[in-house]
This record gives sequence, structure tokens and C-alpha cells, in this order.
Amino acid sequence: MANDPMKQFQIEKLLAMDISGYDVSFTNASVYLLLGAAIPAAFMLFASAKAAVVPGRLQLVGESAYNFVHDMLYTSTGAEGVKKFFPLVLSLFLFIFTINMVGLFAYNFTPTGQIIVPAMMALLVFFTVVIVGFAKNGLGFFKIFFPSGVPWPLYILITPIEIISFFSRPLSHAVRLWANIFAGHLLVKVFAGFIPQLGDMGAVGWGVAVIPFALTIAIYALETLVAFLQAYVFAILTCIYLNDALHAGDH
Amino acid sequence: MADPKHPHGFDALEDLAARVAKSEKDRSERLAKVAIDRSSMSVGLRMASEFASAILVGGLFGYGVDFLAKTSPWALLIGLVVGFGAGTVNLMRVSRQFATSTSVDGKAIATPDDSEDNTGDDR
Repeated sequence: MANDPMKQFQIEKLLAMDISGYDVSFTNASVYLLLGAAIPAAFMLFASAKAAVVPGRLQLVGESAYNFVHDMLYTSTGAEGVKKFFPLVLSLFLFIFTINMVGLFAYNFTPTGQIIVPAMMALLVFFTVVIVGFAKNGLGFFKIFFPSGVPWPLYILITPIEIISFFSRPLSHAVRLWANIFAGHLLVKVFAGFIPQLGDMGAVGWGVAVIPFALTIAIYALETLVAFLQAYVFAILTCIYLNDALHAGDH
Repeated sequence: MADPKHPHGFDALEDLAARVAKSEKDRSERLAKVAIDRSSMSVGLRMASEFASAILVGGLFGYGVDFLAKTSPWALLIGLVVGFGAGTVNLMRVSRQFATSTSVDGKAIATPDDSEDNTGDDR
């Protein structure tokens, strides 16, 4: 059994494909990305299949997920944001949450542990903010770089800072999700790897191995929390950024 | 008045309404608690990524300007300094977010100052 903690992040080609020089192979990452899209879709379809007035257990869970994202979007962007962006935020939240949760099971792959996956989602949000911001506010969108209530000479200092702060958003948005998942999965593997290593030392080693074993369980519990929290944090930051697009200059 | 069932039914309804209101209040309180990024590791990673990404973007901006205007290394240095400023601003915003969402006692009454902060900063 390989003890390399990085092995869980390795991408393996399941079906090699090539389109005009670009490698578009179907990999293990593709499988779990598809699962991340298919599981929430199937779940929501199942949950809303009956659409009973008095919801059953499944429908209740589906409605809770719906309400959870709805409340989150409503409190930060208001009714207008819900009308425009609810499908986007709900999809992002369920997608990330499912991928994180599926990735927690042994032998599974976690695509959010690859920087490119959160990066593309963060860029999607970033460009949505920019496009919607300009479409809705016109040039008034530039107001986010000029916070109100500041004496004008300070703009020389504040505007570059605000611009960099704005462009650093997709980076920190993506890195936060990726780093949490990556670090967490690495930590679990490293601590779990201590157990057989200590076991090689004989009976005393197995006795000491209780400590990393307990730690692995504790970290696993924490990872379950992180899997939800990071999906939530990603979604709520999306809401906050989208609010800027809708209400530029209300800083 | 003649119907002895009516007041009973009405009371039951009011009772139900009170219970629904209570559970909804509990739910929103619980949601507010979840809103706080509890795990210390994610707090740390959050702060670090906010700070580091601003410096990185500032540096990249400067490097890009240098590359186009052949002013190496001045724009890179300025970009790093401004990026550092932007990172600090980011950190202040995040920590203010934490300060407003992490009250020591969840049931404590918010001071007027706190509620102002909540509405004042939309980040």
C-alpha cells in the first residue's frame, strides 16, 4: 500500500482523447465532476417529483437546501439578486458541496483539490460580476474604485489599492476553497500514514499508533465540517461580489 | 361564544403560530452561527489567501507594466507596495466581518455601534 499522501491528487486518464492537439482525456477528475453535477440534479428532481403540499422527508431536505441558498442570497443581494442569480448560486453551492462530500469517502477523488476547478468557478463569478456590473450601472460601475466620503486627494492612494483589491478577489476566492480541501486531505493522509509506520515497530508501536489514529478521526470530522463550510463560504462570497455588481458605489 | 370548540381551536392555532415563530427564530439564529467560519484552519487560510493574493496581484500588475514599458524594476516595486496596502485593506475588511459576526454571546443585545457596522460595510 503506497503511503504517498500526494497520490490521492493524481489524475489518471481513463479514456485517452485528443482534439486537434489538445488533451481532452476523460480522467478520474471528469468522473467526479460529472458526479458533482449529476447527484444534485438527480436529488433535486427526486425531491420535487411529488411536489406535495405537505412535504415528505426527501422533499423537505430538498426544500431546506433551496431555502438555505435563497436566504443567503436574499440577505446579501435583496430580491433583485435572487431573481437574477439564484440558479447560479444554487448550482455552485450544490456542486461544490457534493464534490467535497463525495471526495471524503475513501478511494474517491476530490476535483476541488485541483486549483483549476475552483479557479474556473471563481473566474466565472468574477466575469459575471464585471459583465453584469457594466450592463447594469454602465460607467457607474467604476464607482467601486472610488469609495464615497473620501477627500479627493486620497483617491490617488485609494484607487490603486481598490483596483488591486478587486482583482485579487478571484484569486483568493479560488485559493481559499482549494487550499482548505488540499490541506485537509493531505493532513488526513499524513496522519493515517503514521499508523502503519508505527506499527512496523512492533507492539509498542501499535500502542503509540492510537494517537495518530484518534487524530485521523478528529481531522476527518473536521474535514466533514470544512466540506460544507467551504461550499458555504464560496457561495456567500459569490453573493457578496454579485451584490457589488448590482449596487456599485454603495460601499 | 356558544361554540365551546372555537376558543379551543383558536388557542391551538395561536399556540402553533407561537411555536412556528420560535422555531423560525431558532433557525435564523443557528444560520447566523453557521455563517461564522468556525474552524480555525479555514480562518487562517482565509486571512492568508486574502493577504497573499493582493500582494501577488499587485506584483503581477507591476510586472506587466514593467514588461510593456521597459521600466524594470520600478513598477514591480510600486505594485508590490500597493499590493501590500490592498492586502492590508482586505485583511481589515475580513476581520471586521468576523468582528461583527462573532459575538461572544449569541443572545447578547447588539450595541448601536455593532448594527451600524453591519449595514455600513457590505463586504
